[in-house]
Amino acid sequence: MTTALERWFRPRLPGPGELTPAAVYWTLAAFLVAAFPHLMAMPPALAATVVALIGWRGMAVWRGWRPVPGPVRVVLTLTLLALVVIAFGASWGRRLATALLCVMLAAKLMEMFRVRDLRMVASVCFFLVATQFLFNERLVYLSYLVAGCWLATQALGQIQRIQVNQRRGQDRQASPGASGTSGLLSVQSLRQSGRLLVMALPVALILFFLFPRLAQPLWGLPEEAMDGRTGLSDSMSPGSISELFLDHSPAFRVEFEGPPPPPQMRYWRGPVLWRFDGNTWQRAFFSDQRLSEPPLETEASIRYRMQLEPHERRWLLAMDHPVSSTFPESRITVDHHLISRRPVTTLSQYDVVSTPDALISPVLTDVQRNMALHLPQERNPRTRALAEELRQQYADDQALINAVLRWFNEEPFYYSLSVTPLGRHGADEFLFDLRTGYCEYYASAFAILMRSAGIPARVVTGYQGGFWSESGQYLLVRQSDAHAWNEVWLEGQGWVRVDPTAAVAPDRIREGSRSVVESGRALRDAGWLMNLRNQYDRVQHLWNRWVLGFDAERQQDFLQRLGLPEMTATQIGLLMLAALSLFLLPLTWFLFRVSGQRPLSRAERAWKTVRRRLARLGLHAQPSETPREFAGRICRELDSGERQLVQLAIMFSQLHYGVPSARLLEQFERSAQLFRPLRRGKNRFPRLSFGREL
Amino acid sequence: MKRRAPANPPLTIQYRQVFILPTRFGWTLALLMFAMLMGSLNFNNNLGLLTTFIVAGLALNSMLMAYHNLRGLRLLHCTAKPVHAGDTARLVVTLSDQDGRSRPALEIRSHDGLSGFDLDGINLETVEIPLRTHQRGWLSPGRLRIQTSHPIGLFEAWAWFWPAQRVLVWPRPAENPPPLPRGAGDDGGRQISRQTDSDNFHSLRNWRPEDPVHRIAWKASQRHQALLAREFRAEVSEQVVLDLARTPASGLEQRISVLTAWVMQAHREGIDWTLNLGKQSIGPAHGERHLNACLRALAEFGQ
Amino acid sequence: MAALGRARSAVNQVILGKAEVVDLAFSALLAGGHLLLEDLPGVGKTTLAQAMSLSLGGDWQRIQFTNDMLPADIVGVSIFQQAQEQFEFRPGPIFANVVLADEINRATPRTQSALLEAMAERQVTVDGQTFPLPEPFFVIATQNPLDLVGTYPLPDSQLDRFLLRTSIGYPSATEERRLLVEPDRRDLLSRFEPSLDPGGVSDLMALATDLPVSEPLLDYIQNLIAATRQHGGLKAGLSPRAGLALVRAARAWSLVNGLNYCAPEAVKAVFPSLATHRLETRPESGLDSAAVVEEILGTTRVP
Repeated sequence: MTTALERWFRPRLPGPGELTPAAVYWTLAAFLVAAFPHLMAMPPALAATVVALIGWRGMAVWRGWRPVPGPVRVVLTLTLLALVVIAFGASWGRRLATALLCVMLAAKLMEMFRVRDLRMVASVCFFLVATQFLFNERLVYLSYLVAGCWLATQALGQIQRIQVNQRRGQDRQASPGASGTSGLLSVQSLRQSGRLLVMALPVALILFFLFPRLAQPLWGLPEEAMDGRTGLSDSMSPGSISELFLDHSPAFRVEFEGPPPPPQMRYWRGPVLWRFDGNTWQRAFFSDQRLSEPPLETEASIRYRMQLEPHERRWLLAMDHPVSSTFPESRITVDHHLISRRPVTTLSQYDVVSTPDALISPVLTDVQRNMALHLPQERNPRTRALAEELRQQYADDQALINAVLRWFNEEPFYYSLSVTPLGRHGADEFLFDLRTGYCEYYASAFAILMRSAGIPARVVTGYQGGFWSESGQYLLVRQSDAHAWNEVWLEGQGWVRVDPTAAVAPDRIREGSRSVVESGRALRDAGWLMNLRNQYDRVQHLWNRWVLGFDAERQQDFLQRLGLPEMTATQIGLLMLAALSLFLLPLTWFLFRVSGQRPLSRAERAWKTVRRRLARLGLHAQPSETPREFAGRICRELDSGERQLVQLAIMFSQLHYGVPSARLLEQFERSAQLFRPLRRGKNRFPRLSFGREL
Repeated sequence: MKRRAPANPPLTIQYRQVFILPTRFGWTLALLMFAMLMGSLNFNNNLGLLTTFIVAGLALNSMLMAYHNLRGLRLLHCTAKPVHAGDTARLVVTLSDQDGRSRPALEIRSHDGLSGFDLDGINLETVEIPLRTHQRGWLSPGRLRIQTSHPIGLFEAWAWFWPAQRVLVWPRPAENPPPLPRGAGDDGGRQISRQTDSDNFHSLRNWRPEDPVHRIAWKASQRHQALLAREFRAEVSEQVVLDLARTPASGLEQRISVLTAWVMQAHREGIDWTLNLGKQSIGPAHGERHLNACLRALAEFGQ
Repeated sequence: MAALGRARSAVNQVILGKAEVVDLAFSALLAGGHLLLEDLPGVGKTTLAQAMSLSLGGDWQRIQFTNDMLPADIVGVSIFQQAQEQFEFRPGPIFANVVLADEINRATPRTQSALLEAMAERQVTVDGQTFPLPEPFFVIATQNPLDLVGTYPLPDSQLDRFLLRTSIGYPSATEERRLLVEPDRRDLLSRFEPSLDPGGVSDLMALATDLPVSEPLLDYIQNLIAATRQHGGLKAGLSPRAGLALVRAARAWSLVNGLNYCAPEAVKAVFPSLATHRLETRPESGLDSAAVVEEILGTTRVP
């Protein structure tokens, strides 16, 4: 009984060439941590299999199980690959690639019984960590980066120890520190690998800031919608925006040149929707066309820098109405919507100039007019009736619009987040029965009403408002600030913005979406929580700005801030090499200072000062010299009365080796600070040596 | 330390003498890093780049650490106990370092093996390196490669030591040597017995009345509560002469092999012996020192 | 303390230019150990011993060892007194505060061990009776290293009965000139005034035992001892007893040099005299223990 138990718990000492438990456990830990976000994004069954394989490998070390036989391994691996293919379908994308990588590494665990395999798994952990950032680069992932790299380094260190111990004599192999489980949680080894990592940071930072960036990608990015990432879509149906409302994650941030515009001007233009099929609003076929004559820059123009979170779409948000932007390969469409050629997959920074009061599309083409007036047949009879009634009452378009807005304001319309599915006559149901809804209900109903009345109208989606961070001097716009409004075309004025939501709930526009939440729905964010969130976003903003948004342009900026001229990529590369080699010297010194010794006492520190000053004159202490011997030798070498040095050495000896006294210590520290060795004989030494020669 | 010729310790590794190259694993990681770099650059993914550069920093640091782990290392001296040809000699190398740094995970490789050690920066460290021996005489250990791939096995730094120290390899004793030539021939061997009076104290035994008083071990008696007497043993000593010319074997090496076996046997039995190797004659004497002298002469004979 | 300084300078007046040897002699005395001088005749061994004993104010004895000497000639004999009808113990020359055992290697091992036993136990046992030796008890033994004919060198295992072993060596040119010009040293000795007394020496010994030894110094001592154990050229390292002796001797040396703490210089000063006779080199290493000890001192970091 006891023997069985003992066998169970006794750590098996590894034989020569065998992996130590410590190395395997650390490698598994590194793998688990590095793969964690990938696992979370995988189908649960797949993730569970990977975790099970990690667990099995851990148990195999603990209990001394044999490797899985080859055929079983092959079958299992193939099954896993099949699972991946089934789960992700045929769509080749980054998620599929990383899932495959994870699964293959997990399969590798089954045959991970050599140092080489272990090393491979540990080093691919770095790769896994790096790939995760293709999906998410938020600040919290910094801790993931640190943890992943640390564990992988630790694993590599432990693997190295297997080899080192292998090459030791047999006597040392049995020592407990070198092998077995006792070395598993040694704080010292963790500290060592941590140190290694910290030491890697300066080099990493130099490379990061000075490595030449690509202005253009080398190959195209797969057009793949990102999983679980929300943002504006290219269509609007009831509920599509209110989904966003619960998402407090940042959509973008804006830094203005000059004071921020007032809240009612903060309309961030997204996709413009023309086509309505009775339920869903969609973009027009010409929506991607380039605008031939963008609005002009005027004195009222606003200049600002956008910091857009990746959303996997081509929209680039901009304030009404964009004039120009620095985003590479971007254009302004006929809808006055800024779009890029490729989906935005990383945090992007770009400067935009907008002219808010620009006159847009003074002339409407027939195609456009038709589309802006088109409504599905035989729908919303009550709305049409209302429109006709209003048309008879008001001949002027502007008066009609004002009347509708007044009607919205005076009748019991409510602003609410509750999503109610609407039927075939959606606008009728909403305008006459429900009268409670979110901005998209209003925008949709308003557009239908306008079109019924013969006024060209369209829906604009985007964001409205935002939180102005006084301390950070930037505007934070969250997903929850998503909004939909309308534009109507008026003769002589072009497209004019009309926001029916503003008529219903003016607070929504003045104070942002939060005001609506508190009064409308019982989603109570405590004030301090929101405050904390805003504070956190400030850090995130800096992070985005300096780390994530650091691109070729910002690199130039950074160099110019350092007072360097504009440089080509080659020049920057050379600068990087120069900085690296310059840096290597202090790094070398720092890395290889005598380390691992006890901390110095006060007396020792003061004595070190004395020795450093002497060393500057080329007078070094031998390691095997006592302080007094050193002082005596220096005095002889200098041929001079550096009596002071001897005094210091005697004092130091007394303090270091004898009974320390506070008074002596103070005196010693004072004299040590004052000690300035005389430079080797300006007038003394040469003369003496001449004398000797003669 | 000269690179091209053996030199006597102490030797210090200077910076020019340290070579450094990535290991296989180092190249693999470089490939991985390249993939990470390309991917991150293409996607303009800064955190990915940062991860890549952290790995690059790790690699650079481990290169420096491997290099500094060797530089300034001092080989103080090499010694080796003589062994018989065919046995594996253990070259004992004593190392220390100049700067009081600890230097983990070092290895010394010779033709015949590898051994690892750490230096703690305070004490001297001795390392035993196996050297296979084939024939008698002086064996030169050749170049020793001292190497390290500290801390994570990405780079291997190495330097060459070429100690001038040689290892004495005794001849292999014959497996079944003929019996010692005791008393054979006119001066081939003779026996003398020598009575030493009271020099060789042998043991204590109970006192008997016929023992002289000065033989009583007073102190010991006090401890044992009984009278004890010191017993001395008269030593009978043999002497043999071992002559190369008269050794019954064919061929020089075989004869030397037999002589080796004889010398060792004589030493085991505590006999005085003389070794005649043509012009050279050693002894008569006995003891470890004499044995060593004889074995050395046999090892060097004719070389 | 002042008395110790006077005694030291008085002895230095007699033994010119050998301050280190005088310091070592006083250190051995105050550490409660004994001193072995290995030197040629005529360099001042006897003068040193005599000066030491005179300055201590106790009585001193000189025993000239010869090969026909018996243990009784040293420790004393019990003689049957007819008148009292009982044995009476006649103490030998060893009953003195300072004993100069001259040319100790001339005596037979048996006689040597009588002396060494008395040194170690600080008492003499004759015919079952135990007689304590006076306090303080200090033996200065001399040995002639060149004179090997008809001598019995002290066995290695016995050498560590002596705390320190040193040699005086020839005087330097200036000191030699003074020796030639100035009056005979023996005349100086006759005018010698004792600066200390046996009680004072015992007090000083107690003082030395209480001298503080700091942590860094203990580290240093441990490192030195560890270095001897790891050195490839040595058969075995220093024993823990030797380490203890090193601490004692270093304390005494510090006291002799007027320090109120145990200094690293003290360790360095006594270490060669303390370690060389306790260490044995491997014959094949081609080193002698003095060189190894120097090397260890030169390569061990002083913390």
